[in-house]
Amino acid sequence: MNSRIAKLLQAPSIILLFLWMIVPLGMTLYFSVVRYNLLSPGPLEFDGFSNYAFFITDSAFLPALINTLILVGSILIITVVMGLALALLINRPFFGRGIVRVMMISPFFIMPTVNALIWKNMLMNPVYGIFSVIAIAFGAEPIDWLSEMPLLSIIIMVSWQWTPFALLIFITSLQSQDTEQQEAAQLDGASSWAIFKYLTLPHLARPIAVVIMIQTIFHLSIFAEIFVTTGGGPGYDSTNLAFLIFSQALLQFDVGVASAGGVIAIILANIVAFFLIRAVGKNLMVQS
Amino acid sequence: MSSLEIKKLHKNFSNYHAIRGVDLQIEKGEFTVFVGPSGCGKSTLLRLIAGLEVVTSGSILLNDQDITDTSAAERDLAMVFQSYALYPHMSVAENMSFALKIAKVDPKIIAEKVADAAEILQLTSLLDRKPKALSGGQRQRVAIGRAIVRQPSVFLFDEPLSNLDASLRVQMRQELSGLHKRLKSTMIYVTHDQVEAMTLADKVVILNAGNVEQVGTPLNVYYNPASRFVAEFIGTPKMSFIPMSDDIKKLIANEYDGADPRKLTSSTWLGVRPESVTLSSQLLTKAGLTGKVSLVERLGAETLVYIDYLGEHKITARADSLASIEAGADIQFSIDFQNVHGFDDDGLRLSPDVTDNLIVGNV
Repeated sequence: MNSRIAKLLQAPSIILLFLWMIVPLGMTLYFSVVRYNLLSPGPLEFDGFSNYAFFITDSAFLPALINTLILVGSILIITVVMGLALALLINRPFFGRGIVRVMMISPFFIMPTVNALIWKNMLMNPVYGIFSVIAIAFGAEPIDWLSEMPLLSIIIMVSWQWTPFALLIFITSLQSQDTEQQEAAQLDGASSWAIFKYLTLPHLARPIAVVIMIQTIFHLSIFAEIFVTTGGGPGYDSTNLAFLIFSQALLQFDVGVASAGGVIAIILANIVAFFLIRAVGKNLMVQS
Repeated sequence: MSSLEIKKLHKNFSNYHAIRGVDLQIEKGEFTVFVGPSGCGKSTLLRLIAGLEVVTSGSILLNDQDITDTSAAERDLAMVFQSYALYPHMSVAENMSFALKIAKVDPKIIAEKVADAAEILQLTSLLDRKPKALSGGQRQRVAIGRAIVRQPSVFLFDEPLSNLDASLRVQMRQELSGLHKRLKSTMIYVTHDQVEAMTLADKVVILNAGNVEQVGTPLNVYYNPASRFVAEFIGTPKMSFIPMSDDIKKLIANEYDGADPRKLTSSTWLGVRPESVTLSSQLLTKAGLTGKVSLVERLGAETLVYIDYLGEHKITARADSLASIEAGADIQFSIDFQNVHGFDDDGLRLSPDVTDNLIVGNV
């Protein structure tokens, strides 16, 4: 009786959440198999998998796919390593730790578009950006970051924004690490490195897994940084799947192809997640 | 086996003077117990010996080698923590072999040593388990096993039994005592439980506010407490303290025919252990003092009687299991002045040591 009432009371929110997910998904699936171009109005005709074929055979697809994977992979490595290093650095008490901690975490509170604009205009601009000023001060030629190495520029921007996230998760986990265990290891003759390797890293296994999974989900769909800075270019050098879908739908007005791309992105995300969860699970979770 | 010497050791935490000039000599193979109330510095002293805290001034010598500035990892000491501090993601065997693995000992020898230690501690069937899957007593054994495997020069124990329930504590206490007899290693043990101190120690070190209050064998400390603090801390039920009065002076004069060999009359306080108090229902001739029974605790084997003497001063006495004493009644009692100690205003003992033939262990 009680559980029935509970189910009944939970139902509206669950149904709402379900609709929230299923309606867009259903519509995407539907649009992906019909001919639907905003420039040529008419009845939506069933078109089989030609949208998929068109999207996959597009010369931009392969570069976009590779760019997506490079972005996710390199940002993950940078943020996890940097986050871990910084977390260990500010784990010990020192004067002004509170302020340092807030400052280190603050990039995460900045909107992606603002973040991208700061990097584009204040840091990476080849004329008046700080990097170019520094380069000129040393007599070097300023680098035009966004056109010479667009993907690396995006990686730097997103890593700068997401390292604080990893840092935040790791620092809370480090604070909960038992100090007596570390002292016991010290008395067992373990060096700082051995303590890190045998105690701290296994202790951080779960938070590392969490950071990797959450970040993967977000980085598969990086968009704002690309849109604001490179616009996917030069050529397709910094186009990822999300940006390619955007350009299909809103630059070429082909909703059908864009939807097919969306479905492919969903499949890709699931494949990546599957392998990640298995890899992370095997290497880290088992130990804890 | 190793000896340990501590010289003029001081430890300051930012604004707190935790250890205030401790001098101590610990002999080879000795089981030394640091005991005192919480905040007395006993754990800090142990952590200083372990190298987990930095010494402010003074020195620590292990086998006549100065180890004051040696890191914890290089001191060759093993410590058993109150929280056990087992490595949660390692199995029992991995926990016990961790130190040897770090020291790059041959895996064959490691396996042998772990098997030996597991045998001693009855852990053989648990070697593959994770600490999470063990009971408190088993975790405690693993923590001890981790120390044994290394064959350290000194074993350090930081309140190892305080997280166990009462019956398990008694059992582990006996096992620890057996372990010391077997390994004959130098051991230092910190506890706030004076029963553990009395039963385990070859040498008891009583600490108070960062100072060593007294060092001695358990029985010597019990019979000849150096100060009121020690007298009060060692022994259950606690020693009672009564102020010197003319009545008591008269009784002392009666007892010793006017002499005062135990210098009791010049003391301001008399420390009386429960066994030195005799209730008058059992002894009619020598009754001398009168009080009011405030509380009767019947423990089964014996009965504890709390007597209000001169209104506010509580005296604890033992009575027979079935003694017919009720709270609220007036009661007469006498004191055996042979075993009573006199303390001055500063809490220092004035009376001479109880004669040596009373004490089993030597000082």
